Amino acid sequence: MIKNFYTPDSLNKAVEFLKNNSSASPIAGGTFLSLHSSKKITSFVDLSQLDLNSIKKKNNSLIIGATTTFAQIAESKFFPPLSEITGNTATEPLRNMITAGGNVMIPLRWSDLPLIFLVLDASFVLRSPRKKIISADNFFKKLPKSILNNGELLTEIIIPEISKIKLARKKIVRAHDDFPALQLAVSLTFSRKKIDFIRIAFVANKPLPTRLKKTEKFLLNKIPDDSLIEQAAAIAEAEIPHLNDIRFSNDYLKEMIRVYTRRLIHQCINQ
Amino acid sequence: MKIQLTINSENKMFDIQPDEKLIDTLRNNNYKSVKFGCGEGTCGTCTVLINGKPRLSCITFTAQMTDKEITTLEGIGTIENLHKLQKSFIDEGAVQCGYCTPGMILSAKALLDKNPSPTEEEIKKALDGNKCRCTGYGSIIKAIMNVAE
Repeated sequence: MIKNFYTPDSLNKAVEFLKNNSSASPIAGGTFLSLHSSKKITSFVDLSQLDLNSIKKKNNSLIIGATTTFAQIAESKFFPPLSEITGNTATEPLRNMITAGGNVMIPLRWSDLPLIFLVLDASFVLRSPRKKIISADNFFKKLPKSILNNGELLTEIIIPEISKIKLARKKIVRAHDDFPALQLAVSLTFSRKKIDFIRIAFVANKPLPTRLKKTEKFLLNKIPDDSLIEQAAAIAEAEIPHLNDIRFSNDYLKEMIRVYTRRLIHQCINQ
Repeated sequence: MKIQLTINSENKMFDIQPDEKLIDTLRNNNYKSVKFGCGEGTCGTCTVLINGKPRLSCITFTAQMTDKEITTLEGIGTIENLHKLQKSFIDEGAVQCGYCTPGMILSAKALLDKNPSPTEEEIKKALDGNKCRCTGYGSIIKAIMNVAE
């Protein structure tokens, strides 16, 4: 039961409170915590007064404050593929509430940004108040909450190379705001027609995104053509583990990964 | 805990529980246009405007509303002086049971304040969080189109 709702006006006060109260949880949009907070949580630390709700471009990187809402990202013009994804997530009132930080700190299999930030090779800035930066690979190794030490707070997400990087994502759902069977995303950059950076990842039956590293390695430093992309799609299908899911068969999900690996690489190339 | 809220441009003090939801604070203080539906942020009947943007009061903690402007349907029109959207909903027969109507009108108001000339597609997207299970959406969309410039 929540006994205390603390609204600090500085980052130092917020992390100090979190350090001294192990039963306290940060809260921003509250779309998950208002319904599902653990009984162990007795205090909320409201992050709304910490000036973490902005999105800006700096040296070709996009810096997204942890309490920036999906609606704010959707309205920003810095990186259109990301704006399109957040603008089509959930519903209008929810887009005004869901925050970038909340979406990654409490990943669920229908969360959009963990997968997107992983393929965009984002970095996560933690403050305690000392600054610490964690790569997306390390951030999503296990549930992000368990990666943060007591008193550490996610304050920013940094996406590099936004003018160069291509991004495409497929979310397989029966209806717009339905529970997805699968999410798959591809990002890549080119140097002299060769792929010099590529990330392919998916979310299916577990909340954390998984990279398809063999497929990435196969495509790296190559000039993509139809035949190469077809081979890459087959490698992607072969490299994913068995996907136990009560709703969708393993064969169906593997086939979708093959089909959409191919289509998303083409989408990136054609951007 | 004591908290000052700004509801429909009026500042008022409230004594709330730390885990109190905004819908409960509002309904317990006679803002009855705010309806309880699913209670989990899905149906949109509890929609209110926070700083002019639609949000769901059933999954919003009241304690987070300091320094924010809350608008309910009571704040945009009265029976004697209907808001143009309310009038248009009546004229178009866009109300059957009426339960979703306050949320629909507030979402429509937020859209028209931002974009006075929306397309039908833009209206549909703005209302994607407001479910109607009896009138159907045709007359609702038409009522909003009639008010658009």
